[in-house]
Amino acid sequence: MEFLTTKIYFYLGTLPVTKTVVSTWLVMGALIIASILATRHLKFIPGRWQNILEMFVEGIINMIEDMSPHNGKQLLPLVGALALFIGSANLAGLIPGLKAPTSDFNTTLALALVVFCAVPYYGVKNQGWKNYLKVYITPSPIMAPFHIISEVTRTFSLALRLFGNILGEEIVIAILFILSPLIVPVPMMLFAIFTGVIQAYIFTILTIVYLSAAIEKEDSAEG
Amino acid sequence: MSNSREVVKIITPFPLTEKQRDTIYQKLSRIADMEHAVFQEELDPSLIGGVIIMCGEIYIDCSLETQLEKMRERILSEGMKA
Amino acid sequence: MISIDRSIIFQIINFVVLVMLLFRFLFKPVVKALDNRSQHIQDELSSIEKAQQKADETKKKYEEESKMIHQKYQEMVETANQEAAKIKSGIIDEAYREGEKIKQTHEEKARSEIQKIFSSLKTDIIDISTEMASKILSHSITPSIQDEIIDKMLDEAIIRIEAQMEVSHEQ
Repeated sequence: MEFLTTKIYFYLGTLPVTKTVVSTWLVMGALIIASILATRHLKFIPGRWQNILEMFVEGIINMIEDMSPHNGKQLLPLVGALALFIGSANLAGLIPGLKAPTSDFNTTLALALVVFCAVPYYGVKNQGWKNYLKVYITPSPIMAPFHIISEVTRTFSLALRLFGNILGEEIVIAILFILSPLIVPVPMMLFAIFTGVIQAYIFTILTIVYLSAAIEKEDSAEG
Repeated sequence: MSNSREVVKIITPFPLTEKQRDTIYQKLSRIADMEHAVFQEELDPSLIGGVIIMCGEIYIDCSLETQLEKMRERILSEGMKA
Repeated sequence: MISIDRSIIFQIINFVVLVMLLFRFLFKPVVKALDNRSQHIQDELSSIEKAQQKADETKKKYEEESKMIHQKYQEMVETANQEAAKIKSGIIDEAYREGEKIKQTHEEKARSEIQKIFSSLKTDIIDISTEMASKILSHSITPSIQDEIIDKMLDEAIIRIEAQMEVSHEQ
């Protein structure tokens, strides 16, 4: 089971450049090149591709605004990048020779940590220090540790959920390959596409929930 | 009254009878001197009746024609007023 | 299997860089395009609304103007009617007066004519009757009547003359 251990290609300073990191770079490069190509000739009246692109962006904005009205544009960069990256990273696992970056706990934890940091960033940015910190001592200062524990654990749960699902997927596909490399893995791979999208959606929507809760103004906050 | 011979002109529709002439003299003598008067008689049938006597400055009109004329004038004037 | 090593730092940096790059190359232009379009639509709508408003205003203005013109027209017609009625009644009055005058003159004329005829008739009658009287008298007169006339009338005349003479004597 060689894929369970992450192969280290070389070290950049003290940092190991693993297969995951390289895969991540490839996914990133693909996404960015695709973005540049897609947005190179944006027209006032959209063509088919531009329409799909706009539908995707508007879809994410609407998703955000369903939960946190008027904040779609503000959260779009982070949330949109998360959705795109996780989605394509999940699917990248299906390409032979590549490893899904999300099947490495380092990647998912990194994403969860970014979200973990983004929550107070957007909270403070939208409510100010006082109001943001007040949430931690609501309803009483005794609750502060629990709030913090909740935030930490949900970060880990976010990272572990994605990691577990994708890694499990890969393991199943790998085992099926070992058992019968020809036809049998195909339905599982198709299923993997589905789970990959679903997991990206779940991660994204949870991120939106956490961020919108942080952004919500004190007076309009529930509980 | 006057010593000159006075001409008394008598106009009648018919010739005067003696009796009539006498009556006229008699009456005239009351106002005029008849002794020296010269009588001049004239006929004028248009008088119808009566007599006109002209004696100097005296003019007596007793003719029926004049009476009728007077009556006519009077009726005319009276009638206009009505 | 679950191992956290230092590659996590790479991943964090990677993701942050990805977020920035995607923002720069994907979301910013798309959002800009969307905003531009919605702005354009907004502008279009507002310009349409403005045009609509303007049209409404113009319509209103025209309606008011036409209303005013109509009113003016009505007034003019009314004044004209009144004037016409005045003139009409004036003409009628004048005609009536004229007629009355003519009638009066004619009546007067007729009356005077009648008077004239009447008086001439009267004169004629009187003349004729006087003539007749004179004829009758001239036929019916006799010497005895002549006598009497001379006697009585001369008497009266002489008495009158005597009275005159006395009056002139006293003076």
